Amino acid sequence: MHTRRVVTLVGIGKQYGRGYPVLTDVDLTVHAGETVAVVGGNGSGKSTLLRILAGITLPTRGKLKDLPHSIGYVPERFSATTRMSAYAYLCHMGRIRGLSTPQAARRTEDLLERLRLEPGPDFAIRDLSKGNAQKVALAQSLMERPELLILDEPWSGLDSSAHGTLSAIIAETAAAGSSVVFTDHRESIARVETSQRYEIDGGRVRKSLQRRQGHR
Amino acid sequence: MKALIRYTLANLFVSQRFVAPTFLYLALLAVLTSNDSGPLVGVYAATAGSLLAAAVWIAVAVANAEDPAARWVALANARRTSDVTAATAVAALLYEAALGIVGLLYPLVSGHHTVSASALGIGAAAELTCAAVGTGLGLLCARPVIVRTGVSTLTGIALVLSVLLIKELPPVSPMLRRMTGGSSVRAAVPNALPFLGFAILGVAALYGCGVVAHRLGRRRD
Repeated sequence: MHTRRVVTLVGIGKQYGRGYPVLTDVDLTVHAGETVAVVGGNGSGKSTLLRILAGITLPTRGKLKDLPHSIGYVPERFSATTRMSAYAYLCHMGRIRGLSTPQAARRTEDLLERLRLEPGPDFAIRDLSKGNAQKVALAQSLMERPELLILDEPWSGLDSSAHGTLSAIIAETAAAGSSVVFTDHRESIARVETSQRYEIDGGRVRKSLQRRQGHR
Repeated sequence: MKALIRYTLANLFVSQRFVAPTFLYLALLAVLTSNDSGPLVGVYAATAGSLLAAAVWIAVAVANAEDPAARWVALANARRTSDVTAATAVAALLYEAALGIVGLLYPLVSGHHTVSASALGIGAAAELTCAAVGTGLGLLCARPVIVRTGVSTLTGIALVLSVLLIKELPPVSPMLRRMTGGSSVRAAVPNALPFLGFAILGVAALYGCGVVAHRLGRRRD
């Protein structure tokens, strides 16, 4: 028996300009507390699917229903070119999400400590390594507990100690009643327990027949 | 919304992308208005036209200060995606307001003019009109609507020349012609009331451009 629906995609298609269709007839429903994995190869349409789920880009066809108000989104590559420090950036994102300045500062300190950002919170984001920039991207998505957490290849670039932290964050988010949707390549899926698993190939999404219980 | 505007302005300042359009504006101001002794309203036509060109560039600089991934994050964090476009426009307008004040005051100290409240009011309305129209055009030339720098630059130049030179296209060209005596109105200080109308048209043009830029952007993001 399923819980409340958090987001539903019905017949979604996406095409950029006159190019080939990136997504075709995608039907997907995410319920509260679910952890959903979308697996597929490079260029299969995973990132576009997640941007539609996050309400960032509009689909060319189909409908997006029940989109929650609070969404945390982590892009595949957070190669931010800004000279803003990680600390300042996260405080800004916290305020945009509705936190007061002291609340945003406190949450920023907690998250950066947990994720062990190196070399430090006052370093400009553009000068951070790929993995540390990814930690900043992950931290901004958690400034306020999201109803839907969307992670695009979140393990990419993270060191092994951060892998465990990320898996724990995903599990905690789902346990708190929020939903998590993430993409990755097949071998990475074993890192977390998933409620549903979809495979995407050539822009078409199909539900995996076998329900996957991963190993942490 | 306030938090988004604050973030957008902070991004603009740390990126230093505001320097080049500011320099362009100040250089035009110096060349076009220094040591002038003609009617003040005519000088304000030059400052407003200069602000139009700078405003397009500033709006592009504000919008492009974020790379696409950071923009997607901001869109996801904002409760309404349209707030991100609105914050870009407001941040650009706030910066242009500072330039507009310089444009209003500089001719008073660098030239010899008869100053009147009416002339100052017309100058302020003209600066607002040009800032609003320029910001709107800038949103249409910036990411994610136009991604490539060369195409963005050429489109921006073409749009600025169009609104300046096409006589029938309101509000900028008819307004500047009225200020310089190019229309049938020949008074030393024209009636200020029509300039309020030009300013309202300018803000309406900004709103229209913002809506188009937002819709196109969400399809291309």
